[in-house]
Amino acid sequence: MMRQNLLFALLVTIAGFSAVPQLVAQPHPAGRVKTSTSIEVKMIKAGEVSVPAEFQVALYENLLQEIETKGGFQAVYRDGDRSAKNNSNLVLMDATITGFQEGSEMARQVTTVKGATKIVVHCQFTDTKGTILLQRDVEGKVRFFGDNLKATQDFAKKAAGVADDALSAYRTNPEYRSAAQQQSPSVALP
Amino acid sequence: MRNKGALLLLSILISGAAIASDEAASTSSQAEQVIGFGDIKRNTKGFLELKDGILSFTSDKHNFGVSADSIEDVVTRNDTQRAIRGTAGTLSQLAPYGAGRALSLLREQIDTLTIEYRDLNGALHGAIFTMPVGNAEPFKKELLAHRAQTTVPLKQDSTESNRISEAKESQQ
Repeated sequence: MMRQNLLFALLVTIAGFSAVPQLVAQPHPAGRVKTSTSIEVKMIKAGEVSVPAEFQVALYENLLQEIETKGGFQAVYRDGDRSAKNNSNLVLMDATITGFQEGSEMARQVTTVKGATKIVVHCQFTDTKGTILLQRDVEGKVRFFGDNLKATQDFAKKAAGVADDALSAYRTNPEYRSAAQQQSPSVALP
Repeated sequence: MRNKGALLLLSILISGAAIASDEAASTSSQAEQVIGFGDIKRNTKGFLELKDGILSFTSDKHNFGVSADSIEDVVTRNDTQRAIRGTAGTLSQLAPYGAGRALSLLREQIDTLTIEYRDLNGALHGAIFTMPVGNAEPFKKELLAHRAQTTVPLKQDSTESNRISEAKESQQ
């Protein structure tokens, strides 16, 4: 009887230990721990370049999706979302298309060397006070297979990586420190 | 007297039918939702309809709609796409004796309808639909009649798409 009790106590202890990591951290499905910082992504501007509307929209939608999938930010707000207004711990992303060359899917398939579609987008990240955290040109391409809009997916994947760099830059920013202190005064900042 | 009564009845019936057809007036088409319309998965095939000022997309699994007056921009364009798409289209390129290259030349004309709209929280969304050629323009006209907005007036749309395709050809 005593042996059974001992075994039961052992099992309970093991179960307890295995539950601890779930309580301590809740990683994002993509394997990353979310920060308390959110991002608002503004609609991609065409700038002085003539770009078909569907490219602009596909860039914006793919970008939002990629940033959400990467999971570095607590929330990803769309352009004009009123929920973002009250969030002081926020990074703003502005993007302007500076270069666009629409290729041809048919030319890519027939020649495999011609017909690449290329988009260059200038990405700028600021805090809510307008301080520039990071700015970089990001390129999206489709060379061999796929329709022209695939260039927007290529851009979105790269730009989501740049957004992560902007997040790191923001975390060393005084704006972040004051926003994080307001949210949870007891949290020790890096 | 009997004739007058019959005439009155006929006119009532005709006006009634006219009102009914006005209420039921709708624009619809088979379409593919490429990206961005609610939570519908990308490249979903279904049915796009504009009825009573609501633009809705229905597929086997989804149904989503937005009010026309929440649309801030509606643009149409004419384009082409591979006739054989998806995995079959990609694999067809591996066909021997240059047959794959020949298959790549098979393309179909499509219309693209791009919209930007705001949800109830003010957040901006963008959605792209493709549909059989000639079907996008009636949607745009109807959407504008239901207080949707556009950055490209109706006549310019075709000029714009021609200009882009000309630029594309000159680059090649």
